[in-house]
Amino acid sequence: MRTALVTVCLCSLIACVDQQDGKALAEAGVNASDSLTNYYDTLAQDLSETRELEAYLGALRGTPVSTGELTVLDKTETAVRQRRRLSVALNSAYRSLVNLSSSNVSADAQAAGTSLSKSLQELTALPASNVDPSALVGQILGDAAGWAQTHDIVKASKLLATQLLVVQKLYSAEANLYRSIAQERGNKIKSVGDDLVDKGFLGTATLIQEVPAALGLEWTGPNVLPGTDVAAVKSLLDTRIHRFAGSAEGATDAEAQMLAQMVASHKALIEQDKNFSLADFNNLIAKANAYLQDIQELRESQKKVELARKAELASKER
Amino acid sequence: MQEMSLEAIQGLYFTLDLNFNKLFDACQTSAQKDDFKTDYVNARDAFWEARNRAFADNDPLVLSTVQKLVDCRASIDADLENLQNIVNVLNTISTGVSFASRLLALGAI
Repeated sequence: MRTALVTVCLCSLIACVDQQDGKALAEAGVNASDSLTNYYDTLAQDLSETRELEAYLGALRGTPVSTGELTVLDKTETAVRQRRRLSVALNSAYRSLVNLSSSNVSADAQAAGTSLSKSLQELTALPASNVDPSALVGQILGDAAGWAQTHDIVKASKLLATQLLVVQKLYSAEANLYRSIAQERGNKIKSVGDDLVDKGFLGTATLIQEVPAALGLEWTGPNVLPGTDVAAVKSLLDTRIHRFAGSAEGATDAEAQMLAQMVASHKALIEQDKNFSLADFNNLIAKANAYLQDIQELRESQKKVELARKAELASKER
Repeated sequence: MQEMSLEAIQGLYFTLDLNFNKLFDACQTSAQKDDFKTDYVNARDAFWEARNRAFADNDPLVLSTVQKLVDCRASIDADLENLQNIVNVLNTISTGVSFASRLLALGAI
């Protein structure tokens, strides 16, 4: 009798621990999918800025972008935005998973499961990655809504893992393509930046303006500092572009590692691995976010180039 | 490691994009400048299009075309150190762009 009671208590305890681990994994999943959404946001922003910068360079170089090519760019942008929507749906699914043990969540969970399934089905291919999303998605449709109908977080994690694997495989196959998007934007910034420096629209004061700005003070000196030359400004631009490229590369790799670890964590939870830990997963989320934060900061500083470019366009129009 | 089709097309386009002013300024006639601009546009459009095409990167014809394109880019990279003979450089660029177009034709939509 006593042995049976102890066994029941131990089983309940193990189940409780599993539920806690499941909830912790779901919470980490919320953060990871947030990070993935931000990553796709930066890619979409890269594409949109590249288009704008190329339009400027096209006018400058006499190499305009044809309407047909704009349609080609639209296709790539649409595909990236679909992937962003997919990561938002993944985020909703993990949020539902966190709340799965609460009462009255089955409707929300059902909606999140359906939304994730729909986002997966709607994906169009970025063919250069040689991956057809529909082939990946086909194998999971049966599981798509199922996870949302259970109140067992571990069972739900198991079902969600199948969908997560599709997201991870897709990302992994397309990573080089993502890299090329960020690199192209970097190249355009470099070309436009150099051009603006050559024309004197981006003065050498750029080198020092951030010092008073960091103190909350406004730069009131001349745009071109005596005794400096344009090569110094170009060198500063190069340094920033290299930093941006490094961070973009780092973010692409970190997101890939994060997704791989996310899949591994699901597996460990499902297999009730005694050494289950989310430490590596959480570290990789933090790493990915650090790169994304750096990209955001660099974007802010590169807005100066953008403003100078717009000023030049405005002066031409006048 | 063998470069894949997208990376090879990207390599040519990025080289032309980043060195546009240098190459353009080295052109000596209007016809050369026009040819270079056309090649740049074709390389750029090939890259944008390539992102939306699937390549059979194990196909022998694709592999050999990728290699020829990679060789062209290596030659352009070397020429950028010394643009004395711009006619030769422009020819290599045009050849590279034609390989990019050929690769694109081998890719499925």
